[in-house]
Amino acid sequence: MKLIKNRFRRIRWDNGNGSMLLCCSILVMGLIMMFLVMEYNNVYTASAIAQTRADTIADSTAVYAMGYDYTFNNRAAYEQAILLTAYNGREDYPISSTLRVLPDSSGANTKLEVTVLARGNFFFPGLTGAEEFDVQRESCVEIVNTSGGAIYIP
Amino acid sequence: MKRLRRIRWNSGNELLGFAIALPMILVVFCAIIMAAQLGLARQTTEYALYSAARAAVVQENLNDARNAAQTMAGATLDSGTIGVSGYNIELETVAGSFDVSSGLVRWEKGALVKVVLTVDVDTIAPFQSSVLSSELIMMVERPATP
Repeated sequence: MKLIKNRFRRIRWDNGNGSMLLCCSILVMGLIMMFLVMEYNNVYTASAIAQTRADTIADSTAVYAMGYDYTFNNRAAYEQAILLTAYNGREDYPISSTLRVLPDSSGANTKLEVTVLARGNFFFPGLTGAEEFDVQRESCVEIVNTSGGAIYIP
Repeated sequence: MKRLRRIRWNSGNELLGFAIALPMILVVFCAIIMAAQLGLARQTTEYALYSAARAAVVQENLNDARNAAQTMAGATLDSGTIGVSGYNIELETVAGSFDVSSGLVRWEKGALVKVVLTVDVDTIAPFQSSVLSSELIMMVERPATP
């Protein structure tokens, strides 16, 4: 630090190339900042995709699996989740999903927990030290049985 | 030309050095702002798309769904993004039970609707305008009719 300070003081600003040196430093810092902004946005875009897909899959699966007789069909839920994951996959950020059905102890309300994992590629793998990154987001939906179990159609 | 020859290149010229470096610095800063702007626009596009699809799937029919998606996408994009100059949203049913009389997929639970949102973004760079597009497939959440 002392060396840098001494060197900085020795620059002949009126005759030397101090401003050029300074501008080049700003330029390099600017480029580093740009790389960081790009990678930050890359990860956050993957996060936005994972979150919106998780919400989509959770909502649609919950509605699809809930029968008109207020019974929850586990098999239909898993089928719909697989179908929507396949449909909503993207080339740049491929997704995979995990569905967990959490039945309520009373049997009235069921919770669905959808976890979506989006995979993306770093723009500058040399700087980050990794080729790919994974973003995991969750969405949880509770199916409320408004009939309170009064309706039962065998 | 005479003035250029008189410059002592080995000792440097502050003004000239600064003049050379300044445009490059400006380009880099513009690129930083552009990258940030596009990144924000991409994220907002995803959330606007989801909001629009969510609003669409609970409507009575496809026309109402189109209107609801249009309104919701507009409201989300207007409030959330810098530089969005225009957008277009398209809806179509891609799977479901087929209605023979109308020749269309029935707008009911189980049918899948594809929502495509295209957003024009005017970035800070005057020479570049970007178009962002994203699509989402969601299930219609209306009860099936006999």
